[in-house]
Amino acid sequence: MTEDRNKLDKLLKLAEDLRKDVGDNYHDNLTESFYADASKIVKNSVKSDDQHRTFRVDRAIDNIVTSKIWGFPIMLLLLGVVLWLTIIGANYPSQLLSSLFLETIYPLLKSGAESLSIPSWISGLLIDGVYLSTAWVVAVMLPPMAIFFPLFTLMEDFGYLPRIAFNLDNIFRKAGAHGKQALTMSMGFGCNAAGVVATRIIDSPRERLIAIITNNFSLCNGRWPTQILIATIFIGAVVPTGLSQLVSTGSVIAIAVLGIGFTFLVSWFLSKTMLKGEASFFILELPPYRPPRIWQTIYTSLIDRTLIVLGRAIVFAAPAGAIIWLISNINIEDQSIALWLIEGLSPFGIILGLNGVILLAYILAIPANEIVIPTILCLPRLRSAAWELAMVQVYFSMVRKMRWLIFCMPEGGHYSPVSI
Amino acid sequence: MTNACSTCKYNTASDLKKMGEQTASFDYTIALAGNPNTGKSTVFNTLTGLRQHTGNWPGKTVTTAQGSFSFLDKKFKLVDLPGTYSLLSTSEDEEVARDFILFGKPDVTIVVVDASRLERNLNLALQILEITNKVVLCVNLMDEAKRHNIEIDDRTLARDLGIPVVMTSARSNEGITELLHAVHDLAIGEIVTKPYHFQDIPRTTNKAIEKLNDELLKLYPQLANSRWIAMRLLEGDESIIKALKEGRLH
Amino acid sequence: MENEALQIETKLSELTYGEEAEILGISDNCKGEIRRRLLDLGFVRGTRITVQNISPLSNPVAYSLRNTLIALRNEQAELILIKKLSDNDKRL
Repeated sequence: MTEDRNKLDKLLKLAEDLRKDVGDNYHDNLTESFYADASKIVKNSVKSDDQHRTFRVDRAIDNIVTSKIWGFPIMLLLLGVVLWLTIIGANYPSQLLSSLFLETIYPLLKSGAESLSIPSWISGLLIDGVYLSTAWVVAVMLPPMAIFFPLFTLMEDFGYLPRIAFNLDNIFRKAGAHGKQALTMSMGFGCNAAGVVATRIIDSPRERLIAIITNNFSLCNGRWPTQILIATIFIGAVVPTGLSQLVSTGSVIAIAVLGIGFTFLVSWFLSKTMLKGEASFFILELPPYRPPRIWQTIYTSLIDRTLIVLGRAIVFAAPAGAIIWLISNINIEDQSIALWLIEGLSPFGIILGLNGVILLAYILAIPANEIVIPTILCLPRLRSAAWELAMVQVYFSMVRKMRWLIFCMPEGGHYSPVSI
Repeated sequence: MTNACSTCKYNTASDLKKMGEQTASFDYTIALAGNPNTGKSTVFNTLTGLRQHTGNWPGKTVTTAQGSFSFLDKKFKLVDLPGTYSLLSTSEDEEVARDFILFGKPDVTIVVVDASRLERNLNLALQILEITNKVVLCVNLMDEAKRHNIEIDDRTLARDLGIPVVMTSARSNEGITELLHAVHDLAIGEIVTKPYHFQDIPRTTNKAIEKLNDELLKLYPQLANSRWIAMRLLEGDESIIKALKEGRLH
Repeated sequence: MENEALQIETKLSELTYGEEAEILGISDNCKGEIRRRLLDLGFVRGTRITVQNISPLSNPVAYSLRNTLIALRNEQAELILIKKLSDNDKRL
């Protein structure tokens, strides 16, 4: 054993001595040899029309999407088109789903429970609590996700993301961050978790940390529907109907661009303060464009992304619905637990620019940010007294808009979420 | 030996059973290596029936995804390694890929290369041939190469490299049956490879490698990839030195 | 004698759109990880290289070599030594 070990040590010593002989260029020589051999083999077996063959279509696309004039407008335009299609396209299926869930199925469930003489607290908990909040989440989230994810995936499969990195790199360089952060940032627009995992491609730990911290400023899949919903409800509703989709799209883009701005600003701040250091190197292959397989992409992004995110939302929405129903219907002294909580949270909420209702919704929705908005809308619905009081404390004009929304909902939970 | 019918593309992959994520029991382990953007994940998905996401940007495959399939009554576990340009550096992806081929000792390694960028891709393939001789070269994206008027003589390539070469367009399932046969035959030992070892090295470097190689073989006669280990030792690769000390290489 | 003028060793960052060059090597100032990365991607002696795209903000630049597009920041392009090719060389 020790003898072997001695022999090995001798071998390693020999390797070290030989390393001095081969010199500093060892790695260079080795790589050169591999490439030289590779090109010799290729010459034997590959024939191409033209030794300097040009990949003309790729080149033409690149000349446009990375041009000084068109590079940035095209980036914004693509983002805009994706969001616009999502907002427009999601409207009708959302209405359809919510009328199916709330106007057809809900009364059936209610009357079914009555005819089976199920105690009202059970049917309240299960139907008004769990069923309604789950139906809400599905109606609100499924259509935008089913449109957004396939579109985003198509762009990704086409090979556009590295071009975004290429276009934006100079800003990252000036912010002291790694150019590949543009890639992880773009990934973050699809999913923050994926974006953070993707920071693996950044080799410098300092720059990787910056990329991880700032990934949060990319709107992720959980937040797109929320943003789109807020934009449609609050911003789209204040302008004339004809303009509403355009304006809501614009506002979501503005939020996304604001996020990109924050990414740069915070990266710059971090690299000048807590994470000081020189920007390291940036080497990125711009892969050839590949026509995405449209049906396959739609299918897989529906299955892999949409349903997974939706499933996660439902898993959290169902118990949240139960909790909301319980705290709204269990009274302590003369008012419900929800009202106590809302009153208690209000002072803190107002400091944050929110109110008690919204803060409570945030707390209930901590496990899944997708359900914040549905929760806000569910909370007051169940107890009008609680919500009247909350609305008195409304702080934001945006939230005032929401009161209007909720006022429009008839008692008993017949409402259609996106039909405003 | 495989007869004409079994390799005929009209005898579809009826012998292929995609088994998704079940990787409990299997007869052979297959590694899937290759440069980024060569359609490696598409090959993986086609063989296993899984839907590993196939984004078009370098460094997309996050970890080593695993799946399985059975073919001609043998069960195979397929491990998708991160896409790398080389195995000579020390980045995280490269270490994951390198360590799996070196320590995981897969029964067959499929190297997926982009037909239109063969030269760049062979750089990695040649390095892998230094580590293991059970390699199948999968020249993928043939449809794209045809559009670019690139012709590849697969026989010459197979003869030069000394390993099976299969042309595929994994996106449209072309060549997958042939790939499966090559992997199967190599795994069960019906094909024996005579892998190309690269030669075009400056003399002093080569002498140093040979000297170290001889010593290594004296110490560990069983070492299959001693020449490659010698190259790494010359570079001062810490993880290889550690592996030698812990006896994980022989 | 314009051919001779073109043979002068220069940096990759000096290459402009439309010119073609041959890589002579990587500067000795460039060590460690980045040197290995550049080599792995094919920035080795004798490789032909052209400028393909310039980012809208001027930096980085995408170079075409061995049928791939590789984007480098100017700081990295300065580390790569080239000789520009005249029309005569290109035909070789």
